[in-house]
Amino acid sequence: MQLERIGVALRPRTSQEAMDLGMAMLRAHARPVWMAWFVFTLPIFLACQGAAWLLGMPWLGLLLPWWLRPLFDRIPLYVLSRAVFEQTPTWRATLRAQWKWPWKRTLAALSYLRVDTNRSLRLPMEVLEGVDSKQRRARWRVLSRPLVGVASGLTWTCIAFELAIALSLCIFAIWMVPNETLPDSMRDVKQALTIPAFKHALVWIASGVTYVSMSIVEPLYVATGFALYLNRRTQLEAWDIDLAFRRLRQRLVEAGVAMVLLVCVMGAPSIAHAADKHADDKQVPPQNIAEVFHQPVNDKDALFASKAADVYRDPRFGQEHKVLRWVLKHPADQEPGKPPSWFAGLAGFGNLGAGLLNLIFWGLLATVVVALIVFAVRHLRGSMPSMERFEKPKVLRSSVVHDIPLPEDLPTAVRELWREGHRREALALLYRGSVVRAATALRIQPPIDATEADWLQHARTLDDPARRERLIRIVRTWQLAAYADRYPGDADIDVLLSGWPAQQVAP
Amino acid sequence: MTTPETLAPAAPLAPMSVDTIHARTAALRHQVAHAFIGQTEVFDQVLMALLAGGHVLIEGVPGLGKTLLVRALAAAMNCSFGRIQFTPDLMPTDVTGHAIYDVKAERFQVRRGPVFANLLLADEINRAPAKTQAALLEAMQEGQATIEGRRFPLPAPFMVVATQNPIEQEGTYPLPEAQLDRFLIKVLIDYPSLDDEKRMVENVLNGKVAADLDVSHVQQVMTHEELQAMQQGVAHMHMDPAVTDYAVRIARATREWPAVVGGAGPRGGLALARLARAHAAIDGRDFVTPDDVRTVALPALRHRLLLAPEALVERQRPDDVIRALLHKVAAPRQ
Repeated sequence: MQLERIGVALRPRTSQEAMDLGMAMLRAHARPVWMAWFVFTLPIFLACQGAAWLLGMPWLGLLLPWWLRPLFDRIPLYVLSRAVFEQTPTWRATLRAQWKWPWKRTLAALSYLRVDTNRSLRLPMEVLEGVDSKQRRARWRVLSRPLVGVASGLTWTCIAFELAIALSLCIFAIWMVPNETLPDSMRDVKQALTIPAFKHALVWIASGVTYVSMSIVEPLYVATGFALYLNRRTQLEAWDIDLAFRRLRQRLVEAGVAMVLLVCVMGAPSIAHAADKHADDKQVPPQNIAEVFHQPVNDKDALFASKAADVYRDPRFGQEHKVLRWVLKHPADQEPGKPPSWFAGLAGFGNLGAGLLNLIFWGLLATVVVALIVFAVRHLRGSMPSMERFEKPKVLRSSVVHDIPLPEDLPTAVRELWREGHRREALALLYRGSVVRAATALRIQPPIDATEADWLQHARTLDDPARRERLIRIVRTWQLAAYADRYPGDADIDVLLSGWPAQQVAP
Repeated sequence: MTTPETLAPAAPLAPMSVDTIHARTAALRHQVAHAFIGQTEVFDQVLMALLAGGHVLIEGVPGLGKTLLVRALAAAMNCSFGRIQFTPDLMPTDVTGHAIYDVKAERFQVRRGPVFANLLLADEINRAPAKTQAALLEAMQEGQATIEGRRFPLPAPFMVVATQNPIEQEGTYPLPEAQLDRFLIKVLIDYPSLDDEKRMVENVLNGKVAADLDVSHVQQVMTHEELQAMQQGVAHMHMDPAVTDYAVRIARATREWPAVVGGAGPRGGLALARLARAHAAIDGRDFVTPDDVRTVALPALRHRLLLAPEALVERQRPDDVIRALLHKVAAPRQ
């Protein structure tokens, strides 16, 4: 690796800054990335569609390009990994390089790692580093530890972004079609979905739209994942410090050469030979850390290999230790390792606060769970057909009637009212008494909403013909009196009351 | 420019007796049945609205004879008939009319729109934007149309029969509740019964009714002046305060009903009373009973209720609510 040639400013960044860097890199190298992308992916996409068409399975045209995304991801990764060292490849070079790049891990990504949500972070590690299977797990653990959540979040964000683009394109396309030009059968989606040609057309359109949205989002996804990877390695391996030292050494070497030249020009001829000799030595600057430190450091070196093996054998390697203690953000002036006297009390208070917070959070969680259960129960109850729920709970003010209680001797009371000239009240009393009596005979509760027509229907179900006729006559008489202002004569009242048994409807 | 003198009230007509109304409506029913077969309930409801001087909103799928009904009614009453197919690009002037410059006369002349008819069929009213709907509403509510700032009275009697399609909701402008309230009645028209449909097909095959809305067999049984007299007769019918109270209590109960977020306004009670009178007159009675009110409750109130989302989720319809509500409102007994 030639860190001196790196084209980005190396420094430890937050995850968000790193992803922003990825986007900036993609913007800077958009043309080679997308050129290579389309040259590589478009024929494959069309081949997938062709295969789907030949097999008569349009959904395959949607599924295959989605499944092959890890294969497509190699393209932007290759371009960006070269571009970051300012060696941006052409699309031809990118395609040619695919033969040389390792395929083993891409096959893994296409199979059992296909649904891994950390795909964007894993991709550069597996393709660029080429570590063997023994070290891969440990390497991945070290690399991904603080980034798993970020990488997953990036995946879900990109999925949402892609969906939004796809849906927007679909809606835009639908808006562009004038409704009048659609046949009637197409206007109703449910009906249209019963037409096979329409369904197939929908799948083809969805495939095309998905490809477009994938082409927009996927390079961005790979670029941000690659930037996260770069940032993580910068943090782990102190690339920024390494680079600073290299640049410092470069400056010192250049300054040394200048000094030597100065001495050669100004100095005695006797030392010219010696100066030339040193100058020859310095003509080729050290190309790696091993040369800088005059110590061979590479995989072939036996000493390095044994040291590395010792490190991997060390039981402390790869182990995790979780230490929970309070640490001041800005340590005050105090003796190293010895907290101030008030800190012990504060720590106790802090522990108490943490405990309380713990309790509060658990309480909140319990409340949310209970609320969800209550909501679910209500919703389930609400989804059941229950017209009664809307009918029963409330007593309508409009339904309240203030009936005058029926007297014990109804015929006498009716006659008295009639004689006094309260003809409507007399007939109302007779009507109410009659319907209550009919309800008793029919063994029903007198419904409050029963009108004259209802009571006439009830009358027809009475067994006793005399009672039936009398009730019908009373209802008719009441109807004419109450609503048409046509009252019967005195004799008619006597006839209506003639068959009335005394004290039969007393409350 | 507004010219109030153009709105001179028509001379009052003598109210027709209930017996004559009953006879005339029976004759009208008989004649209309030559063209509009079956659907007696629909016809009765439209007739009630006609006698009560209100407007009708008919909801049903296309092809059930709505236009035929209105044309047959117009033919039987010798009334003028107008039809407007509402579309999204329909302008208010397409409804009311407009002023056009006459080059020969060198002045603007008013060309009246289709709204100037006794019976107006507003087909698929919810396909037009609100501005055009409002132009029709002025005609419905005030019996006049405004053209270039001048108000013109509409011919009397004037009734709008608006239709809307319950299936196609895409690209429509649903009528707001306040606008729906202007319709006296909402009629639901369904497919005809088997027997009626068979009769209809037989009639077409016998050449009695052509597929192109043939109303030639409908004979005139009254004039539109007589129709106005019938409306006057209904308007002068006796209605006991107990029945009025019952109608108002039903309308008010819609506002208290749990499944309803927007109940019927005062127009609801008024519609119940007007339609109940018309129902009694068609029945040959000169008095109104609570049963008349109950009979007309569904068509008079169904378009005035705004159901709660929970009720809509449970697929309740306004008719279900009104039926349930009628069981809770006490009938008059004093």
